[in-house]
Amino acid sequence: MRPAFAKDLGIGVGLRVPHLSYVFEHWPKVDFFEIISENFMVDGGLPLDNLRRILEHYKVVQHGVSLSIASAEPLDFDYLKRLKALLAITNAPWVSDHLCWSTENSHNYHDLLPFPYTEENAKYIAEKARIVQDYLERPFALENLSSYISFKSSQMPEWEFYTSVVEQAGVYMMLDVNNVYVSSVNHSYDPMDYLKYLPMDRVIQTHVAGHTELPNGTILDTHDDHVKKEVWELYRYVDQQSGGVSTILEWDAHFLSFEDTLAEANIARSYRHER
Amino acid sequence: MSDKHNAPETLKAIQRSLGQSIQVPLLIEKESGDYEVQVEKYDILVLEEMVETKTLSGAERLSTYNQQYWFRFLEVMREEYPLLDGILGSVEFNRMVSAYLNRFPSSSPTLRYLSVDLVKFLRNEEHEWKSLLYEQCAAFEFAYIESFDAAEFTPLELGSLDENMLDLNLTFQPHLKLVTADFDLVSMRGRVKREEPLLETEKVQSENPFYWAIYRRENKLISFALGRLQFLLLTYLETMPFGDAFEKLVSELEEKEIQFLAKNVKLWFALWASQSWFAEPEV
Repeated sequence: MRPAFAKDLGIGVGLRVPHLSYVFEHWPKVDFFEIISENFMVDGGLPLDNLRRILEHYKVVQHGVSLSIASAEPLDFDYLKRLKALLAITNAPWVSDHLCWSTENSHNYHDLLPFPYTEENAKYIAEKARIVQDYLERPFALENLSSYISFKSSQMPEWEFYTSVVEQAGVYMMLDVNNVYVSSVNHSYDPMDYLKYLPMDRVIQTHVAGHTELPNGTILDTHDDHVKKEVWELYRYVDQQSGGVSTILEWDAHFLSFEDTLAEANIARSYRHER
Repeated sequence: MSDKHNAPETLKAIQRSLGQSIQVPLLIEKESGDYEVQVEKYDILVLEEMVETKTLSGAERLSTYNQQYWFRFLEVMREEYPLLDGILGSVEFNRMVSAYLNRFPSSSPTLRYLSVDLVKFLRNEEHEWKSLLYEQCAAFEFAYIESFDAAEFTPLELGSLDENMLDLNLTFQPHLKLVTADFDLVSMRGRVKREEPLLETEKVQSENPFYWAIYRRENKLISFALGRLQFLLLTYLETMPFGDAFEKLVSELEEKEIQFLAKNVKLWFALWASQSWFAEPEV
């Protein structure tokens, strides 16, 4: 059973700059928005003013891209301090970031990078995740990443590693259903093996998104197209198993109008009605 | 709260090796702009760790991250530096940015500060993009980046300038940036944004420098043309009380300029205050 704080907020979309003027003009009915935390961890100006206007009308959850929790470097408490300050503004019920690394030797690669799935690494990252949740004083969820490489030294499949980290840390899952599909193709496994293994009571939010297939067969997590049928099928399973969980459509390039983006997100409702 | 436990040595090693490999520069062909990945420069440790697929080698799989690394950065830099991109042309811009980021990799959690060392790179390093125009253009466009999301303090309510203000230490809004250049960069940036071609005459160093205040007003970025004396006075006001700044400026001017200053300073001051350039001191 999901924890009480993680109630189903419904269906929302990632808040993106190209849609702001429409939202401010029409104030469309949206269950909730997800913001990229780093876009608002600033001292002033338009981003924060826009966020304050959004918060007057909508619920917001925070999703980050720069925590770099799997980095071999220590946690960046300057970053966490700014993240916590933003949480005080948004009052988001939970905050999420990726199970990946982005920094090494003070160099930020600005990418969501994979690493070997070993017991030692799971233990190390779980400890950091526990510290993050304690420091932020807010439920913290980790997102499974989409990846294009895998490592010979991995000792377990990603779903076991993911579960091990969140259970050891006492944190939660921000399950990106598109990422499960993307990685399953890139690494040749059955995505249902992934989903069937996960403790659904730890899943407090999901993402759906579109992706792009390269000529060499690699699938990139590009968030620039409609959600593929295969991904919606996986979403159907997650929805049924979870009993309905807060869902965000991510769309980050080749933008549609806000109305069309919301319509894409609302496809998720048809799966919910099947329950 | 702290994070004192040590990372596994194997994790450190693989991240170092993977990081080195994905930042291997793309070879950008000078004429066509075509590029090649240099898989032979990927680090051996991570290459030996890569699982191959039926169709892709480990190096080919790794190259996805290598290409994404550079494409992402080039795209962000192009958005933030439309004028520099317009002046250099896209192929040269890509080559210059690659050289810059190879020398000064990002250390900030936000991509907005990817170019924090670009002026330093263009001014101090030995390379083929040594040019006053490029350097000043980079400084000018970075002022926009900094101003966009800098803090805004409560504007200082000021009456008209009088003798009581001589000892006043003025605090500027953090989003106010003073910029000077030997080229009319505001006009050039406007032309690039309207997708009009730049004129060759615009790229020639002007006899008289240009001065601007770049600031934010109702969340819009504004470039406000200043005269030389206004610029100098504002620059001195950043570090000293009004009376001292005024005296310092006067000591550098000829009689004719002093008269001009005396005649206009109250007007300028009122104008600056009306634009909320001065702020209540931060508590």
